[in-house]
Amino acid sequence: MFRIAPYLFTLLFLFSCTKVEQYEDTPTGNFETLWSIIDTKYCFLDYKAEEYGLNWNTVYRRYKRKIADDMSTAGLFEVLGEMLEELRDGHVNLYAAHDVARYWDFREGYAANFSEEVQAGYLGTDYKIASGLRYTILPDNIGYIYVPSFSNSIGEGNLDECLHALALCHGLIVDVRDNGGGNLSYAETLAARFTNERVLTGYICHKTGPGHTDFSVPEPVYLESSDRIRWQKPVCVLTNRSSYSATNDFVKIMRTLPLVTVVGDRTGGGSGLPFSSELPNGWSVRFSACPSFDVDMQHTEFGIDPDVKVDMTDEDRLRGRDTIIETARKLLAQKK
Amino acid sequence: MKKLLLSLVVIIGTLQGMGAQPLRSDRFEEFTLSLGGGYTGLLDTYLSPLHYGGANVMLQSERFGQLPCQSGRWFAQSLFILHGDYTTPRPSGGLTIGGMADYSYTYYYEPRLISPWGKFRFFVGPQGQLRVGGIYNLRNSNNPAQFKLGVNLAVSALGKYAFALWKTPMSVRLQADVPLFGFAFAPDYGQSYYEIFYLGHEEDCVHVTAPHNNLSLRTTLGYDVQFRSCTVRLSLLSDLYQWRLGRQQYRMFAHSVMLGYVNNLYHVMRDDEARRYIPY
Repeated sequence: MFRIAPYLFTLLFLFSCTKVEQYEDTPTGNFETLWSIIDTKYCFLDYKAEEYGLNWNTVYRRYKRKIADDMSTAGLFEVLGEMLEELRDGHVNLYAAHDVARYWDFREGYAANFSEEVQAGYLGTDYKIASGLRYTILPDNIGYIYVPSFSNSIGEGNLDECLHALALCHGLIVDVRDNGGGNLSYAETLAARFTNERVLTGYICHKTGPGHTDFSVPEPVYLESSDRIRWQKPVCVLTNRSSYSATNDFVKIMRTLPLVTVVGDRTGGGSGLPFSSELPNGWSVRFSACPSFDVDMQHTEFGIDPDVKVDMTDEDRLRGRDTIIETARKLLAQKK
Repeated sequence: MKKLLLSLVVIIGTLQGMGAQPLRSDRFEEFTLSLGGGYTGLLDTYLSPLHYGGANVMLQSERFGQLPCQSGRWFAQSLFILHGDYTTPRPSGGLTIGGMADYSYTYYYEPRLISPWGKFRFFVGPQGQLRVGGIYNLRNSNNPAQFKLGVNLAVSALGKYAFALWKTPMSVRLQADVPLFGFAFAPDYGQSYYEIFYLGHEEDCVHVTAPHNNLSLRTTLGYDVQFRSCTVRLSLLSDLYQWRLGRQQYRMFAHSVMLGYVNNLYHVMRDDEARRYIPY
């Protein structure tokens, strides 16, 4: 027994160790690291292969040819940035000291459907601010809440005060246009004020291994009703292509609620929870790691269609009118 | 998570309970407090594919004493190590700050050995280990940190050799701890802490650990030297801890040089005090 003990120990040691590939800080090493991170951890490779024919192995072969160990830092950044663009994902970024590689086509190729100048005409100058919320009452007794970001905290006290101030309104507009996302929990805190019961809002899963199909069983995600002030009247949620990430998730939740109508343009999408990693040269990379689905187990990575599709017209914009807000006001007036 | 907490209570509680008997009124006890620093190497594939390295600081508190039994061959050791480190990848990039509190309780038996080296003593016994800590990566977004929690049943061996040089009493000691079986918390391969703690999807986060996925070793090589009535301990603490859980790898090795003060206590108690006494 004592004779075989050292061999047994060595065997166990070898068995317990996993080789983790470490690349050199060279253009080739950085390229290999980045490609490998996406290959093993990015969560939409299979879905995007179905949607538009993305083949990550082909991407490797195509971009590997553009890498040379004597290339400049700027040149390497450009090639790696182009490679990441193949993913068509606003959550994918490459951060270097001199630049950030990004994919913003989900909104840049579409109508803005939002103007701060026009919105200022509705908010006025005496609107109230409750942490991340700006709110006022429009002349036809409709409450208007603008949520510019879910990065700013939205506390229960803020929501109590805001909804209390708007309590006599006969309808409410929640405007999340140009809201690029932030913290999912703030989006859920806000949404919890619009339901009286626990509702299924979608599913979430995560990768369980490096394979493109290694995923956990999707778990249902429920929205718990808030035990504080809850809104009981019709609501319109306003969206545009810049409603992205946590905002996309907010819209996904709100559209499951009976009193809610989504008005405006398709959201920008961004349904993967982003993770971070890094390259040997110190550049940081962000990518979608955990996919979430709607109640029908459908991806919302490329956005959510509104219930009422409306674009802001140039004519209205020039007259200081917001076509999307006006449509929502009409809808709420009909439901009075 | 419940399984993990339950096993924590059982392992530590059992070993504590075994030691929680009144000691002899003429009990000998050694208390050591050491402080030191050194190098930590770190790989946590949940946070980064790169190896990190940097400085660490360690604080170690140890109590070692004899338990009351007829044979006089049973001892208990209570060991607490507080470990902090600051690491970066080479050549540049991120930065992690880590901290770990490591408590272990060992129940030692001193077998009868005919030692050819004179005052050599050898102890061996079961050890309960609890490790709680975390690593925070300052660059990451939704995966900025790793929470570490592990409970282990380990085996520990301790050898001591006392000698005198230039009429000065000295001793060298070597302790080795190897975890055998336990439970550990670790997120799944691509699982976020939002999913675990906010949505409560924590079912897959508690893992059974054994040498095939947790082959770790902690050794302490110490040298005690007595100056007048004071004993000083110079030691080298080496801690290799690795997990391969949820198809991810965590490997931490820390080497620290420690300088400590040893306090040898000889308790003289009344018998009724001794009966009420609960050792550490």
